[in-house]
Amino acid sequence: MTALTDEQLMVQLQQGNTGALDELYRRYAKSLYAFCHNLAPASHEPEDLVQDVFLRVVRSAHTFDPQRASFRTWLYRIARNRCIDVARRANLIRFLPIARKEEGDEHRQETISEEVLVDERQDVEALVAKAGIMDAVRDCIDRLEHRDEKQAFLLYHLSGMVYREIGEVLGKSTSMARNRFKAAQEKMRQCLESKGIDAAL
Amino acid sequence: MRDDEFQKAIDIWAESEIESAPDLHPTAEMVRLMQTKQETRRARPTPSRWAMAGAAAAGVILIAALFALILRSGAIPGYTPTPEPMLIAQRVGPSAVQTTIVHDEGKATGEKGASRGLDAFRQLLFEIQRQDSPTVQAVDLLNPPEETVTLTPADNYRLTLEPGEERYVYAYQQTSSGSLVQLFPDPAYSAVANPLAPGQLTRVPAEPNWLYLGGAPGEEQLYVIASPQPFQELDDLYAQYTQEPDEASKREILPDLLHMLDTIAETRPDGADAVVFVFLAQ
Repeated sequence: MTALTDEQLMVQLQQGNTGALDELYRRYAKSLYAFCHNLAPASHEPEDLVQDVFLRVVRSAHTFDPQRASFRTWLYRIARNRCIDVARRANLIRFLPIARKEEGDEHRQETISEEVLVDERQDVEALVAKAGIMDAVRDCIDRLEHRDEKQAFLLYHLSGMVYREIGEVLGKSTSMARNRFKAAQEKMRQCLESKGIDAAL
Repeated sequence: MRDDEFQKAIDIWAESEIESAPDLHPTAEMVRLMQTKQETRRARPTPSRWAMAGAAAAGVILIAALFALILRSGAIPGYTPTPEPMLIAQRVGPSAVQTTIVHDEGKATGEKGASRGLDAFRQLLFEIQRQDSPTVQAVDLLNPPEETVTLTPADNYRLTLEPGEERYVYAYQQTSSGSLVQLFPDPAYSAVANPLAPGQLTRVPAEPNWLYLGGAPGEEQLYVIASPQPFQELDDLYAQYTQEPDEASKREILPDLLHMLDTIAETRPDGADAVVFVFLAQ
């Protein structure tokens, strides 16, 4: 199964092979979760969004055409549209931005705490520094106000996409995608610098 | 901050984000959907790809619709229907329609309607003609106001479209009784045909005509699609739908047609933009 390309797996999924869906989950669920966690409002659990995205993949599998797009860009385009939709809903009921940080970080803080307990070999100071970096990066991402810039940044670093693929997901040209990413990268650098992260490293 | 320091911080973050994500697996609902689609496909072969896909999903749509009704009743909090519609109008009483325009995400970021399924439009207006007013109220759907707008059954409305680039535009309204009407393109509503040229202002229906909400309890949906290419299969299936001699035959095709519209709205293929407005009449 692992030797198959994403597109071959989609053919199998179209034919009703649930094993193909398992493999697509294995390949993409975690990075998709991270993408949704950083992009969607805190009112929506990333896990629910990921499951919803995959449900849409199953429902729309017959419309997937590998000649037009890779599975990965198709998947992330669905995820992006879904996150935009839920953000629209969240705006409707006016969640405050601060809620995202408080609620969204809850799970991560627990995870970090668990790591401290479980992995006793690791140096506590290093973990504290790591937690500080995590908080700083997340806060800086939250401060990326330009939606395309934020998405380009997340797609590049979390899914490993190249500019062409990012452009396909965003519905922009490759050069536009590159410009968005570069702008985000520079803002992130300045933000992290202002938080003294360079000294922490 | 040096490049290597910046990259290290980002790598730590990205690695931790992915590592700490939970292990997720396909749900039972997905497996059921796949099985249903397979069974339906085997049972009902159809000549076109779209029709075949629609047939396979017909059972799924019915299940989803029932599920949606259950959830909308409040049994399971947090449910959002599929495809995610823009709630534009909500009836609050037997004689009035409360219209709520959602707060636009694009407005908050300064990007007018960007990436919300409406990128293709330079203008997309919801125009309202009041019974007792000589002027027309225009609600900008690309940059909607925060205040609530109320329609009464006596008020009329229409869409005003202006694409920024050449686009094939489609507008469909599904009434609360379940039937589907193609508002655009259709000579009955407007003499303008696809494709619309950049900057071509088009009213649906054309002046001096207006639309109005049917008044029956239920849900009305308005699909607006703009595509660089024509959706020939959509045209063909709608033509087949309208040519059916009786309602029973139309009802057989309707799930395929709605599924096609939902799929376009959901996946926005080939550079298409699509958005769904919902009128809830309670």
